[in-house]
Amino acid sequence: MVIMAALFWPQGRAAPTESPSPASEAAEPDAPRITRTRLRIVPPGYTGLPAREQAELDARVPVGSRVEWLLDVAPRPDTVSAAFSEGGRLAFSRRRDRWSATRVMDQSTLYRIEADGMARQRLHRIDAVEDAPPVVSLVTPDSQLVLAAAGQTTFAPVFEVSDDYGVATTAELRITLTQGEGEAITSESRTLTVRGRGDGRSKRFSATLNLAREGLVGPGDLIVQLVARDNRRPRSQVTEGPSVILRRSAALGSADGLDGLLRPVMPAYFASQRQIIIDAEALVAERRDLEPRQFLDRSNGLGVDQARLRLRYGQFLGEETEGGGLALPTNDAPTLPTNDTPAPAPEVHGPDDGHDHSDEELASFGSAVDVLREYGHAHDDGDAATLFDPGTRSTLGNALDAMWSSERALRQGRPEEALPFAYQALEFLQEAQRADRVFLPRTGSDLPPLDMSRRLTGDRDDIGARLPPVQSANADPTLERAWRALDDRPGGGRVDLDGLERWVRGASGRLEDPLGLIAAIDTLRAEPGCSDCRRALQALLWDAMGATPARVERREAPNRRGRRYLEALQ
Amino acid sequence: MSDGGTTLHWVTASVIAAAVLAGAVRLLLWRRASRAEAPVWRLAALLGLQLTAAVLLYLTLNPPPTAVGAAALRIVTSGQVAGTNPGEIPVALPESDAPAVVRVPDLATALRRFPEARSVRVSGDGLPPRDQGALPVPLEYEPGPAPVGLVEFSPPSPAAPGAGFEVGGRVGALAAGVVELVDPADQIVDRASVEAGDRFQLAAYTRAAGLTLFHLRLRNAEGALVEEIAVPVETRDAAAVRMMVLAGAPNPEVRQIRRWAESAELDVSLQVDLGAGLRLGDAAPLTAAGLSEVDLLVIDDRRWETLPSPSRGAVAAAVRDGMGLLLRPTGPIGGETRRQWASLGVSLSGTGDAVAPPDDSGGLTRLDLIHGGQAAVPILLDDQEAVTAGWSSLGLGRVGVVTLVDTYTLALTGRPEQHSRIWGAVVSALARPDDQARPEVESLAWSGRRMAVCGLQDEGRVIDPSGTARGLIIDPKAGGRRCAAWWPDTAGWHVAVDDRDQQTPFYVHPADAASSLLRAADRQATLDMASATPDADARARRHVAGSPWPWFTGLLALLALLWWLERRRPRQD
Repeated sequence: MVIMAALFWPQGRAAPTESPSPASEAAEPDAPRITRTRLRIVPPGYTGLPAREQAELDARVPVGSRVEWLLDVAPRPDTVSAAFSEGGRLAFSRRRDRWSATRVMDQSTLYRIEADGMARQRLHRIDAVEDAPPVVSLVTPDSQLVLAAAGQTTFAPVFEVSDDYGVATTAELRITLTQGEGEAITSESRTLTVRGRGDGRSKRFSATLNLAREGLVGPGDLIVQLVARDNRRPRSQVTEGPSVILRRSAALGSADGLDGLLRPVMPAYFASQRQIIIDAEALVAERRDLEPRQFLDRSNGLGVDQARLRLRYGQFLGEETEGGGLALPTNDAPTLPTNDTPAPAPEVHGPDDGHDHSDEELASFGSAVDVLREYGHAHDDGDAATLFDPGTRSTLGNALDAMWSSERALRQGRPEEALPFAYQALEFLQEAQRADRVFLPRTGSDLPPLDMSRRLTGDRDDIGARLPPVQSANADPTLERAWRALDDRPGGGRVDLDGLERWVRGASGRLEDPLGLIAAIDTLRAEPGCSDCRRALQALLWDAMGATPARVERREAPNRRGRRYLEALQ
Repeated sequence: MSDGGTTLHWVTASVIAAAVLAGAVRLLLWRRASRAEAPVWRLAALLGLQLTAAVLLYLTLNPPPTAVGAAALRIVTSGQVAGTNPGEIPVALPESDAPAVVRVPDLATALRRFPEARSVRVSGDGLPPRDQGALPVPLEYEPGPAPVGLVEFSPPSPAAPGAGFEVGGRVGALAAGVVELVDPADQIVDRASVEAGDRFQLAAYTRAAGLTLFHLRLRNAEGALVEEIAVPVETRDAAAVRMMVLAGAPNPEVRQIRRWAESAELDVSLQVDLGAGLRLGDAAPLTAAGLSEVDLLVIDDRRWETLPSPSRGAVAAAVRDGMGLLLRPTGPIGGETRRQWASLGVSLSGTGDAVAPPDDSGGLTRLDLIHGGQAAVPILLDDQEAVTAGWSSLGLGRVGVVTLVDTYTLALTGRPEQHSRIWGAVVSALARPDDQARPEVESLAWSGRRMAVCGLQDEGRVIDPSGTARGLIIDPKAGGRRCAAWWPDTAGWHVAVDDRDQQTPFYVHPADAASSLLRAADRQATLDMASATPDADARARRHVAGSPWPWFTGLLALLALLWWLERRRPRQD
């Protein structure tokens, strides 16, 4: 008679290999017993892992594995089934003396083999191990920001991708070229499919980029990012790797020292005014080719943009907003991470509406406003908005006036009249941008309202602080009770295993290993004398308790002699 | 030989002499009464034999000492194979597995069986505790190889929940290795590299109240386990300290003390003077009854100055009764307050000006006040060894002074655990003690080794891991410590209980756990014994009590002859 070894703890903590026979089993010699166990695990094909068999009923399998139980039970019971902890039961089918059942494991679970008349078995555990997404690391260059050497013509970054089961043979290289400076930064992206070299689990991807062909002729950045996939089925997992930036500095030809490289760059909050000018000029140029109606629409659209821009800057000066629309129009959904607050749905512009918007500008722009909204108190009149120093504020005020005029002309379909005002606004904005100091208003304390009926009466009754209670950060009392009951103190109390299990099920979201706890509780409940099971539960409880804040020790009382001595000293 | 023995000898000799005299007189009387003419030689023979028998009886009772030869007893203890020099009698104690020598159950038996031994030479790991004690003969010790594993180990004392504890020890001859402290979930919480003879100290934190077993593992340089010993930690959840904080003005220090006290689950009440008779918070009145419910009173100098003198008297009386009092000067203090505090045993010297820490050190400001006197016990020292918190005892209670004035900055600058450590140390040093004295138990106990349970009043018992309680017999020789011996026979947690039901749990290690510790202890004890006895003098002859048996045999033969001679009647023809 062998009760199979049970491996409960996947961390390599071996549970007792031979469990003491439950009393009921010993009492009934004719009860069915499991005489042989096999577990056949067929991992999903994409993992490339071979099917394996094991004798233990606990296993760690990749998600999606097919697990087949093969049990010999003697004497032959009527039915054999596996009851799962999350509910559900899997009936075994019999072929001669061998019972078998199959299930695809999509999540970790606990189960118990049950048969008619068979003694209660321990819970067994199958951990479904999730496929990890691929990991992309940069091999060369060794830092993510590289400055182009003089005369450099090619750039060959190498990425290494590793995955637990396999990396797809091809990956996408996302190449972004940004050029220009300050207001006039342009960027273009393209993707390139590259093939990796190496074995299934770890591959190297490299590409040699010709800088001239990529278009990096002047100063600018070439940003390269590898997007790698693994071979998971049905859907592969995608990891966007780290970007590596090749920077060619503007002052590279004449730069001596670091001055040219480390020149402070102001964030481009105010770039969109230039965009409106560009679009308006383009519109004027295309005027002959457009129908009047179409022309008016586009001009009006530019006016809307101008209005939004004006509203944004108005916020800096503490103006009321008209409506809630703060988002600038965009062509497409932003792919770069932007501000956390969800923006209202932007007005949809087609790609052919004649103007373009840079996502990067929007991102930094939006976050600046959010900082203001989060920490500042802008709902005020213009003079009290203290984000900017007075000079900057007046400059911004002038810019807003110019924007008003520009917007009015655009909305009336006269972009050429709007242009001077737009240029004027741009200049004021650039002037404001050069002011590098920003002030945030102080926040005052919120004092409770005065009780006017008691004021100046000298009545001091009922004045006093009700000190608020402090939340205890200690471990849950159920857990502490269970820990104390389990602590091997001779003559100690009994463990309330049912209460503990209820607590574990209720708190399973906060616990690291709720399945392990439930299994350990169940085992201890069935075999109260098993000291290894007890220790296993103790270990799990210790982990579940976490660190507790230190309480204060009391000093030991002096013993009888010490007390007499202290009393004699008086 | 003692005076008592000499007196006894004289008494014996006089009784025997009196008996001989009585016998002679009786013989003479008997001869005169019997008319028969007995030969004179018979009378003379009887008298002579009586005298000889008397001498033999005396010698049987007090056999004369005999001088013994110059042999040495070679005691082989565990860990050593017998290697005997000429002139030595090899004897093995039960712990030794050395073959082909005389086995004895203990050293005393060996000494009795070989009285000719005039010295004892011990080799191996040393004498077990059973054989440690004063010896009548000189002892030499040739220690075996030093133990490799742990040779010293100090398990932690009971800790509060969440508090830190420390485990210390020393490794033996292991060339290089690592000690690891492992928590109940089998995770390493602290480790230190050690070399031969190094001391180490590892620290960890407790969690909920209860009995916890950490483990200390000693690994060699290759990572293989050399030795493992359980580290029993008792986490005691004492009754919450009732703390009353009185402040003369609101300030951040008091606020932070209250916040810390509540997070540490102290029962804290706070009262702050706002001026003009206004007070924030609630606190029990400063009367004898009110203060008997307080374990620690924290008061600053400004509040102290406003206390009416009955309240000050009540505070002093409460301290004498066991309450803790923490005085918290906030600046230079007046002469009157100094005098009053000096009457509580706290004489402060110094101006009371603030001593700022060096710039950018992140240190704390303390006041230039020194809690003087020989009776002052420091709690906290700064890095210039100045006492920043200390106490002196007053009656059953303690009066402490903290001269730090800005510990709240620790909490504000993200170091709340340091704030907690400072105030935890201060409060636990000062607060009224748990009035329950518990049985005291030796910190290390092994299954099969005798240990002492002390501090018992009238009776005590030990509950073993199976839940069986066994009574303890208090050794009258232990005197005021009230100790009893206990031989644990199972490993695991035991509980010593005294007659007031106060419990001290203790852990008994399995007999084979960390054997190097036991070997090191035996070795040290034997070395101490060897250094305490004088060196063996090779030529000295030693006298031991002689055997009474030859004398007794002679006496028996003589008495038979005497009896035959006396009963024999001359043939009456």
